[in-house]
Amino acid sequence: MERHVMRHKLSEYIDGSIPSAAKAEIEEHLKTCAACSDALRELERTIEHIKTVEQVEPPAWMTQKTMAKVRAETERRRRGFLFFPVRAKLPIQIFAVLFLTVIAFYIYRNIQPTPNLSEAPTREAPSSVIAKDELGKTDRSSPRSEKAPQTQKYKALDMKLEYEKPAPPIPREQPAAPAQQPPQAANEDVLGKGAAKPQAAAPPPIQERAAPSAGPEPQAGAKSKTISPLEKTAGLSARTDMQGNLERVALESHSNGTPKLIVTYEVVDLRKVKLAEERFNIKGERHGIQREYYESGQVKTEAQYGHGKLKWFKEFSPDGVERSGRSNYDWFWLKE
Amino acid sequence: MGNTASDEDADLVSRTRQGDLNAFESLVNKHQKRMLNIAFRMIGDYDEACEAVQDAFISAFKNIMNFRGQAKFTTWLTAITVNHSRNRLKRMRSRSGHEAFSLDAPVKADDGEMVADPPSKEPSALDLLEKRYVQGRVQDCIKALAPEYREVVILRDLQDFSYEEISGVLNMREGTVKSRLFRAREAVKDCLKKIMGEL
Repeated sequence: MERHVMRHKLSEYIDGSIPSAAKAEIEEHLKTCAACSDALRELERTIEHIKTVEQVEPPAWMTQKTMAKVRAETERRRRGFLFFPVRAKLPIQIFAVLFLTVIAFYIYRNIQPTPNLSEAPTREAPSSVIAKDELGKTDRSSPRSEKAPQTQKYKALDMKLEYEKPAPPIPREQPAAPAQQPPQAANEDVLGKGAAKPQAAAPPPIQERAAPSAGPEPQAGAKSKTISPLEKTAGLSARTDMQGNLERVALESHSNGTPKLIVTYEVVDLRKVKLAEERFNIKGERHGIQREYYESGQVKTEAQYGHGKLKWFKEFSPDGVERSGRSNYDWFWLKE
Repeated sequence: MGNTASDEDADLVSRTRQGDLNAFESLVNKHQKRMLNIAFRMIGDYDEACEAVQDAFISAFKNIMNFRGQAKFTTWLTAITVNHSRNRLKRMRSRSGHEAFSLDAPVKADDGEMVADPPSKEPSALDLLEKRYVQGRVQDCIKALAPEYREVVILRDLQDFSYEEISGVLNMREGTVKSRLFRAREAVKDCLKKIMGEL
């Protein structure tokens, strides 16, 4: 046991890391113990042998190669994200894809606001409402019977003809006992002094554009585009008179028969060109998004009404760029 | 353990932290030989040791901002080199299924032939040859040590680190360092006596 302890201490004794008292004790013991002296000698020889092992030299290219890697690392830090490890990039990429998907969805929805509207008249009855109020009818029990005969198909975005501004409608007498006479609502004066104050034309059910109470004097010689009263027939395609070629179709209606969505088409050369969408609330007030379209299908004007009052509007050039400047309020649904 | 004030590398480290690549290159030039010898004695393969040392310097550069100067730069760099050498050694062994050297196993000579277990009677006519022979045997015996014993021998007897520095590099108490060093030296001694007969 003592010998083992001695040999353990011999290693430290050789390294000179043993306290002086213990060192003296060991030296005293070594004088009398041949075995420990031999062990000390062998251990010293072993360490000498170990120390004879030659050092290897680094290759000449080593510094250069190491520094090249260091510089590459510096550059990688500088470039940042591109050289992030995959574990760091993956969540960011997933988030980016989700974000872009949501953005694309909203953009698509804005570009194609009512993708089915243009086809609706051809697939199904343009609903029950057209001209009902205008005609003063009280019988709304058979909407299917009012399905408009469609003789041609068309695509809303496959349009060639230039849209001409419809002439102001011929002033007409109000139909007898209209079922819904929407109140006139004053628009907000969002345009300042220079602009005319448009009336939030209420939607006299599928009649003409409007029957405004305040507006320019109707022109006597109304042009061909003027919307004439809806035919008082079972057909709901609501064509204009012989000169005109506008067709207003109520695609949706409220429970009381008030039109909810009215789409106006121009029929030219067997083609239907969507000109406008108008939305109303159950009271007949203009309510929701109103749109006017170019013949190309691009949105020309877009406005938001709330209960007959204009909230905001946007006007777009034919290439879809939002126009700057002030509107002249020469909007489809306000033309008189 | 040393501190930054007594660390002769403090200035170069400080400049490296400020983005001076030339300062870091000076550190590489200064320490790469020592680090390479540590790695080489631990791994036993020169090319792998070179790779390990390069990786160690890259790691040191990446983490130089985390080096707070509580130890000498040499100690810190050596710890990194030892870690990279350990990892590379593990990968090499897992690749080749290579078993660690056993003190009782036959030792392979430089020429590829198995050296007889009894003491070699090969005459050492020339001192140089004898020296090379002894060196080769010593290397074999060091190589035969288990890694945790090999590390302390390399650091103490080949690289002259103090117990305190070894304690810092290997992150262990000084008592453990002394104990391992004694066992490692005893193992090398026994190995050499087996091969060479007497010391």
